[in-house]
Amino acid sequence: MRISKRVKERILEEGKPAILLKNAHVVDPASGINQILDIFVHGGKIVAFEKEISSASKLTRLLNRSGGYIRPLRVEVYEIHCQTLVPGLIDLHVHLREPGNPDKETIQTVSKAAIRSGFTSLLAMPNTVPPCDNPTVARYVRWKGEEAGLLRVIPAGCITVGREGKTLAPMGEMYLDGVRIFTDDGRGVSSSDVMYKALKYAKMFRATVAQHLEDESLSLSGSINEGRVSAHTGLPGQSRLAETAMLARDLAIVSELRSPYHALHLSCAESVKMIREAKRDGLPVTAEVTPHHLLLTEEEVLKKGTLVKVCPPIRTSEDREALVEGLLDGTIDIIASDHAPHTLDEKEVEFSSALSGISLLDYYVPLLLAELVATGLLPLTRFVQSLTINPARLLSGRFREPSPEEAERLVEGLDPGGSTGHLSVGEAADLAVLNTEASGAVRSDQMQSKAKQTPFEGWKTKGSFLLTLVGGEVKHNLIQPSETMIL
Amino acid sequence: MRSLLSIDELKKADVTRILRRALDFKEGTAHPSELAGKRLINLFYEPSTRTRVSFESAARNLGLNVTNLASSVGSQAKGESLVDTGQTLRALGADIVVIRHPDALSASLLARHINLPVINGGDGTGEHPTQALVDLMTIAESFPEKFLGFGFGTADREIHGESEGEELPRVIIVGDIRHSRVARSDFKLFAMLGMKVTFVGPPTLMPDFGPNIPPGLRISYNLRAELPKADVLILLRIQAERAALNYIPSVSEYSRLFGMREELLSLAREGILIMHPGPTNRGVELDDSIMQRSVINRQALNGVFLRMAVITECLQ
Repeated sequence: MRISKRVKERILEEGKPAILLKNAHVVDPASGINQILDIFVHGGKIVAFEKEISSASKLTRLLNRSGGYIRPLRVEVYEIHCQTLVPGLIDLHVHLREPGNPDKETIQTVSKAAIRSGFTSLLAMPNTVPPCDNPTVARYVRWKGEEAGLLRVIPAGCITVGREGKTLAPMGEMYLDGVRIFTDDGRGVSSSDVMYKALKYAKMFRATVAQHLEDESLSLSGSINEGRVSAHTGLPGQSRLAETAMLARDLAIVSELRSPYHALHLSCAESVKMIREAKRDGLPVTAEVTPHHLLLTEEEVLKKGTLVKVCPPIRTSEDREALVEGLLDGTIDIIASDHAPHTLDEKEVEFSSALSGISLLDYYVPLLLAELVATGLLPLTRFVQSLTINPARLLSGRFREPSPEEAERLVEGLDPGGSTGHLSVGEAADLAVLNTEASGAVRSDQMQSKAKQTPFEGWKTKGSFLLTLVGGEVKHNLIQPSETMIL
Repeated sequence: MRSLLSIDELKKADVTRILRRALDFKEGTAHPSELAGKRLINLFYEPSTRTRVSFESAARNLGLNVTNLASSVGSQAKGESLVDTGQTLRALGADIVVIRHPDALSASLLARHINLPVINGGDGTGEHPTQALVDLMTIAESFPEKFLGFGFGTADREIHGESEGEELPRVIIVGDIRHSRVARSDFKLFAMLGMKVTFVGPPTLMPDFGPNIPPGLRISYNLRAELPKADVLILLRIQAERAALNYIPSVSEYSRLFGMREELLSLAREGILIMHPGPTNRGVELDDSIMQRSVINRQALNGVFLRMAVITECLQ
């Protein structure tokens, strides 16, 4: 059957183009691929990634093999010139501040910051106003992410109602609706019984409970790490026991229940040690670290003041070294920013009143590339792994896949969505291309986040993200297609 | 003369005898009169209409006199008051006592202190042996070909634990297993006969067996996946206090995940036997439609005949 020229033009104009990325240096830690390949994307999915698939006949053959296509199809061809291509990055710990605090940040502004750094998925922390302790708020967060239309925003749910640590939140209702990670982040769950019951209850889900490690009876009003700097300045310090005592308790519970558990933003050397031992004992635990805990020490307080006031506090150089070591040896699985924007007014006040948090999404990947990867400290694949496949595994609910026998006994819930963290034919095309050599610096005036103050102002960065695809659509690009084909 | 305190004390032969006798009573083929005039005392420390009335009906059908004692119990005085009560019951001329008490193992405590047969009518989260026997009777009636010899026309009336070509019905029990005396007694009895049992419910409401769960038992959290495999579905009531203690976030969430509703029937085998020990919370563990399909009324009916059999057994 023939169709008219007018109709053909309409199809061309209004149809979503396919995308061909030529000569990309593909780095996919999950599969171990590390070579120059072409990647072909159509219908939101990866059709193929192979050597030299740029001829029209080859592309047509691939399309037909993968289910066909509507003709005529426009193919936008990007010449990648051997720049690095990775699966879309995932930040597992972001405070999007919406609903409730649009003056600090909105889902729109944070999406803009993230997409420019190669992120295709973010996990939204639930300490919003109102908190995400029920499926309605979770749906709202998803909807706002979709409305922003840039990357995938996945909500985390609270463990307890109002994050008060007293009554279990409707985890089942949230789980049925696609929530797979539960945390009261911003607060730890103080009561051992509530934590025990929460971990036990969550066993029936394909989900993970994540703890913000802070025993409030020990952290009291400490603003920074209890140590040399707090003794020197007189600023009230927070004992490291606030983190380690709670972690010890939690690991005892996990050892008994064998429920999946994730430790958020580790800050102490002892914590790394405990996680290492727990993993050696075969416990289903994972851990994450923030960029600032990898890069800074408490001494920074003397230079940057409240700009480095964070929770948990930044600690000593020994802690920093232990955290880097943990990342290197796999004890720490994930790098997650704990992007925590505040207004300038909320930071530029007396130390004890200043709110904790750093705005990081705009720049932390190129920053870590400069500080950890370019210096030879951390291999690129390991770095990419901690921002792609590892967070993706947790995002799907459990870091370790349950056995088929175990899976049969678990309650089934909606798919959470979220990037897969690896490249696979037939799956959603969430990808990022970066120039790993581009030199730059952290410039607050170039940040998309509403919170533009940063202690890392002027720090050297390496790497610039040229292209970000989410679901096969170009959501960020510094480069243009070199040609267009019509198939 | 013997007590019935726990399923643990029963052997298959005892179970066979009791069920056979219960069926005889139900069919009207047994009329023992030698028990007439004896006295049964219902010693109920917990309010209960169903069980008490069931025992009372059973006793009166046998010609016994019945006295109902409701007693309040202080936590320190518990042990003492049971012992004291033991003496009082003898003085009242009791021949047999049925006890319901909020503490597990309290029926055994009473039995040790009085020289009379004691029937455990439900001791806290412990056991409810007569209910388990009622449940077994009801299941056997519905699957007669799988339980040879309940008097369906055959002379030989042995209950066979292992299958004789017919596999025994598979049972799933859904609810707060941890705190359920009915589930505990049910499982012990079904396991004795070699029946396969699956517990379904939230992990916080499962019993903690330690590293090894008993053979023949399976634990699952996925009602939808287990329904197609079951011949018998026993639904348990969930108490609101469990939510207050954080075993579950709320009763409504429990109902969403584990409530049996009409839509789920399409997953179940045709002719699945739906049971509930009562009392029910409509809209929580079951909806009206499931309630109608359940055999809860037949269970209550069987309860009287079964208890007649147990009383007879204990007084001989």
